[in-house]
Amino acid sequence: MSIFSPQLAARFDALVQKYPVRRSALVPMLLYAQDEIGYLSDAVIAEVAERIGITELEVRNVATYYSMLRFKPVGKYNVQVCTNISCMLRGAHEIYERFQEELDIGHKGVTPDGLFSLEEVECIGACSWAPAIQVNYDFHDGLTPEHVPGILARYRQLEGKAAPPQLVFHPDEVKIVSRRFGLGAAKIDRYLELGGYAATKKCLELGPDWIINEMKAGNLRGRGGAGFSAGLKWSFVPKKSAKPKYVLVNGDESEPGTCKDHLIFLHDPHAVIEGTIIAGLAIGAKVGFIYLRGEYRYLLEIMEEAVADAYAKGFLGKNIFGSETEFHIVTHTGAGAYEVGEESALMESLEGKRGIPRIKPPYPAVVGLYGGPTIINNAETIATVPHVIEMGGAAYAAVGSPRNGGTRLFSISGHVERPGVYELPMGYNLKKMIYEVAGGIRGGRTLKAVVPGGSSTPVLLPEEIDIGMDFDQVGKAGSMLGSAGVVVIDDQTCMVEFALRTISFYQHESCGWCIPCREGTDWLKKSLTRFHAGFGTAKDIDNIQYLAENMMGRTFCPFGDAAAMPTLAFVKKFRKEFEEHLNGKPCPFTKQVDLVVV
Amino acid sequence: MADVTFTVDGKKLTAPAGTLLIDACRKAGIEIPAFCYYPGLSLQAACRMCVVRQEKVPKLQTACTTTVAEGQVFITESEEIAQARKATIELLLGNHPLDCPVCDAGGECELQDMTFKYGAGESLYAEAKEHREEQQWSPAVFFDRPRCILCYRCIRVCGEGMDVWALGVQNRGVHSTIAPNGGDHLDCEQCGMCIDICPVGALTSGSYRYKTRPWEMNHVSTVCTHCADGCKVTLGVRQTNDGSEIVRADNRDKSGINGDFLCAKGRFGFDFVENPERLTQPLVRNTEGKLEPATWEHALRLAASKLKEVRDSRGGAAIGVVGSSRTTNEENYLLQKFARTVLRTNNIDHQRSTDYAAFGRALAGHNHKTASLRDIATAPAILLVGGNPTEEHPLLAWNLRTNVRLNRARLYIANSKPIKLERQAEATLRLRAHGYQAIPAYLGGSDDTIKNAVFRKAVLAEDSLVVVFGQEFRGQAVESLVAWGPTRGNVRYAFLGDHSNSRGAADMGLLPDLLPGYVPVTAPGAFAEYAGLPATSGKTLPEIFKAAGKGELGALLVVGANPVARLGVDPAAMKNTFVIVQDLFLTETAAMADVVLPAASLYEKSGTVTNTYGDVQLVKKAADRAGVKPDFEILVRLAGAMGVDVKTLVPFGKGGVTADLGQSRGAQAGEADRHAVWLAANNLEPRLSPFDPLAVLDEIERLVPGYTLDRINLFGGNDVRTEPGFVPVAALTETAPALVVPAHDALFTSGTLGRYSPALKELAKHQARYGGLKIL
Repeated sequence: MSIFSPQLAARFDALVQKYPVRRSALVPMLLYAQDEIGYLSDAVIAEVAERIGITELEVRNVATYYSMLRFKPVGKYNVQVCTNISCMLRGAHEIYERFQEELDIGHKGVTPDGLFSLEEVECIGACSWAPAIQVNYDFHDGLTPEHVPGILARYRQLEGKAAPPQLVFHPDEVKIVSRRFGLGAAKIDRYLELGGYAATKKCLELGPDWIINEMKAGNLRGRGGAGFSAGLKWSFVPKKSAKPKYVLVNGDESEPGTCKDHLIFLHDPHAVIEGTIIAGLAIGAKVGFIYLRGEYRYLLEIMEEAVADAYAKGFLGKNIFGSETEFHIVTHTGAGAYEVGEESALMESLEGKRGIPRIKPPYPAVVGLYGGPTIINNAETIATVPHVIEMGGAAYAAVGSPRNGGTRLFSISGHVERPGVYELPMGYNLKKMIYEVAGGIRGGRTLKAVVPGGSSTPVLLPEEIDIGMDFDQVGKAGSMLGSAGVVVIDDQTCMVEFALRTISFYQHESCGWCIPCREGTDWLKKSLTRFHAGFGTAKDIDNIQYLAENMMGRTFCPFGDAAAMPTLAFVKKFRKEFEEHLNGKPCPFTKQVDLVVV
Repeated sequence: MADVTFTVDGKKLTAPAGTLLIDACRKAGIEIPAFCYYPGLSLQAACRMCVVRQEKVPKLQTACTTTVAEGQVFITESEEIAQARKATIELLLGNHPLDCPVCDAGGECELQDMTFKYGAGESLYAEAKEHREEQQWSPAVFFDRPRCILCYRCIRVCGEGMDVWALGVQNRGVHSTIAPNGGDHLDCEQCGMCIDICPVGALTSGSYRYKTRPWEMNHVSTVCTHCADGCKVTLGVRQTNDGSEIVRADNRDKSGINGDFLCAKGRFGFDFVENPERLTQPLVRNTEGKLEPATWEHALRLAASKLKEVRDSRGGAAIGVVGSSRTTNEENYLLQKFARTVLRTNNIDHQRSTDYAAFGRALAGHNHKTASLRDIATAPAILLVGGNPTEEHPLLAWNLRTNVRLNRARLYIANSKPIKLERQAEATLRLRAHGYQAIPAYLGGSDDTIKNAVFRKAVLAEDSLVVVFGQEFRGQAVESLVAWGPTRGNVRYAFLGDHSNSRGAADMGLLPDLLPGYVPVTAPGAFAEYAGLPATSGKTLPEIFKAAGKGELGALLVVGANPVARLGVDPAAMKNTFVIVQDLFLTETAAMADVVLPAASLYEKSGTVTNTYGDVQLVKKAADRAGVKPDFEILVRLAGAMGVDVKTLVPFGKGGVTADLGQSRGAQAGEADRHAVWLAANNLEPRLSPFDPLAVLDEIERLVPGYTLDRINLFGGNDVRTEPGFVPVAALTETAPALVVPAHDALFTSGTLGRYSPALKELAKHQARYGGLKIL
């Protein structure tokens, strides 16, 4: 006897068949079970273990890894307030406090009537529309505390749906990836009207070598943050392989300050499908997986519908576009884990395990998913592929700067007048981006600092931002282009608090596998918490720097660097501001917070 | 793979291409520190302690995941590397409780050693430490979470090594923790491997925790007294008012036949020695028919006079002797020599759990057809017929699993029941109950009884095969199975028995018809130097008791056995027999004795034992208990009290005093020990005492076929082979398969002895309560 509804049980029966191994269904199954039952009770764990054919211990090992999965009931509407950097800069704490007041509960509290629960969460991928919250899977963005009672009232009346985030436009934009945004292209017929799937057909005709050459010529560098040439990566996949090859699309968009893939899934899901098929054609894979972070449930549903439509049209399946070629796409949900954005951890997660990175070598192109050669690309990279094919590699490359082909979706957030996701050519001037494209610093204030490429990238000072935004130029300036999440910070911001909020995220998201990252992020968070509360000593500043320096380059995966790099930059560039917190002096920017040792 | 040459710290090293750098370095004496790396277990690269600098590589690399290739250049110690390691330790120590003064691991903690080595003496951590209450997961395993450094060794040894998978890691980041499969308890085989492998004091042993400091113990390597695998076990002993007690058992130097391994019995089942029911004074039945304490002198004199009286008045045929499957080879040899030459009887037997006599008979004339326990760990293919090694031979099971996992050995299993090892099996043949007799014919090509040509074809395709078979085989069946081997190439055999010296009991001639080495008592000229050896076979164990029931047995000497419980003997039947029992406890047998002599356990004496594979190992005295004596000494004293010249029993002094009595031993530490080993190995150690079992070992080697031992290795603490393919073919006699009664001890039982171990009883109770563990 199943404890699940017949519909869910049937869905699980189908789910385990979707993957090469049953266990891959584990994480989605747990999340869907939680959606129905409310939390992962012992009975849920027992039945899921039985269905997958693993021990309950193994299920618990995995389930406790993912932050969306919970082991106690929550309210019918679980209010999740993001307080990560982009939201924090735009007043997330005030929103959170207002919810606390309205609901009279704290973090992880449940109202007595069981209707609401409240949670402070990490970045939910709505940075350019901050501050944002999720109520269950619904996004609500652009909030002020005054919105809070209305949101709660609407849920009380069971009509809580939110509107999709607003699109922004600027004349300097070069619309390639975002060409179809706002045009209804999520519907397959509309997508076809807009020229969709032509690139795939072309690739079917011209074959893998041609595809890879075009991709190399296009200089399309990985949009996830590492900036590795996609064409080159694809060329590493062995032509012959005893094991099946796979394409894995990384839609685990979680880097604070980044919300570009959000829009791609929302507005142009078929571009992701096309890119996946083309990648599959290039390497000779028959299956592609599209992994979306668990918080993006409404986007997953859009992707699922798009995939179903593509199957219905014969664009996916045994004989795609009437050819002899077979290609399938499986969509997959995560359940809350930033680390899973690391490619090998992503594979582990898709295989139904804890999101712990793998030892490299072997690299995924040789030994990847289920042991087969696998290419893993960021969703934006994949969505760009059809455009590179359509335009031709050389033409695409010409849009960008040297060695940096094409455009990028810049997620601009923080203290600017017009935050949003803008598509600009690679190499576009950062200063211009902030002051012209995004309308300058909000409320006529002064710029204090810019995080140029998501929270992992070292902060830049105002005098350092007259640079072109491509991988090489930002690198030269001592930071990284990363995921192109530009977080703008004005002069009313406490950089110690900003550093604390940044490191808190890494402490929360560290997978815990290796010592320097696990212990280092926690130690840094504790020190900064105490420091910001006014209990710091002069030695703490050196200690923070010492710890960060000793995490750099020493960890199992790049996560440690991602936590240490920004910390080092904060301490080095804002040491004076750290010193102003010393000797029991209150934080000059924010109201005094109580010392909380977490 | 081909050898490659590379440079480490300026030294040119050579190793097969693809060897892990950390292994290649360790082999060359270059120690690279590591917490998570553990030989034979999967790679983690999690602790980051083994970082080294590789030429032309920008970041420090982990030596545990770097494979060596031609021309590479590495630096393993430098300022940069020392700083990286120091910082890692500082990070670990941040939230690690500094309760070293009370921590079990204090003094033998890898984190302490590393902290000391890399000088992470100053604490930079100014935050509050997170305390968590310690958890008890089973009677054997305690978990102290803050001490855990998350090296994942325990998880891997439990999963990959034991194939139990009872430990996992839960939560994420700094909240990550090791967790047991039962939520708040462990449902497992309770082997304690997780405790032993823990580099710090996070997992501690229920029997050892908070008892002592490691440096307060002496560590003595000896052999486990329980099953017939014969694991080397290191006993931590500490002085007490009445001797010295065992406070811990582990396998700390990993040098034995068992490498890393020890099971629950070996690790926790030593506590019978401290059982309050332990006999520490001889008992003599008084005029009221009650056993009362007596002096050794009185008890021995009484026993000796009775034995002498019965022998002289009614002849040796009126005396019975029952030996033990846990006493040493020397004691067993001495017992049968005492029975045959002093008591003048062949009425000697022991509780036979395996038909070793049939095995010896089957192997007669074939050398090198037996497999050692080490062979099983490396053989390319193994056929396991019958038995359930996971329960009855934990080390054998470990070796099979490890061999499959690390060497991709092929394991074939034929069994009438599903067993856990089938998870490792290449192929499984399910037999009907009692279907084992058909195996030899089946392997020979007959499809009459067993129909599974695929399994047979796979087994027969193996060029080199070890056949391990259990107690399902006796008598003729053993011979049929063994006879199949010599006809086809490299087939070797191992026969599974029950207790630590079951094999030795048979090898040493605790049998009414066979002398040591399975030489028939009827063989002309056998053991000619045994004065007065009766020429006809004696009574078997049941026959001895039958004779007693008929009033035909004047005296019975039982050494370390409990036949009354096993055979269900009615004490009333023994009223006309004078019974002498040497044992640790007042067993059912001892309770009906006229004289009870308190004996030392295997952990309280020296000698050798032979495991069921024929591997001989040295037993060293670890603990001591006032009031008890080793069976060897008791027998010598008994003989002496009977007026025997003990030199005829124990050749002490005789040609033995050839050494220099220590004058040439060097002053350098350790040299004396090595010198002692060399002297003993070369027969130069003086045998100055009639209580020195090694004097008898000399005679065993001289007289017992097959016991030509590699003494330098034996005395160095290694296992050495016996070769039982020695029985003269002309001298073969029938064996008595009906007398074989397997004990079938499981993970927490160990014959009568196991009943006196509170730890094993606790573990059995825990598993009975929680044991949902699916064996298959």
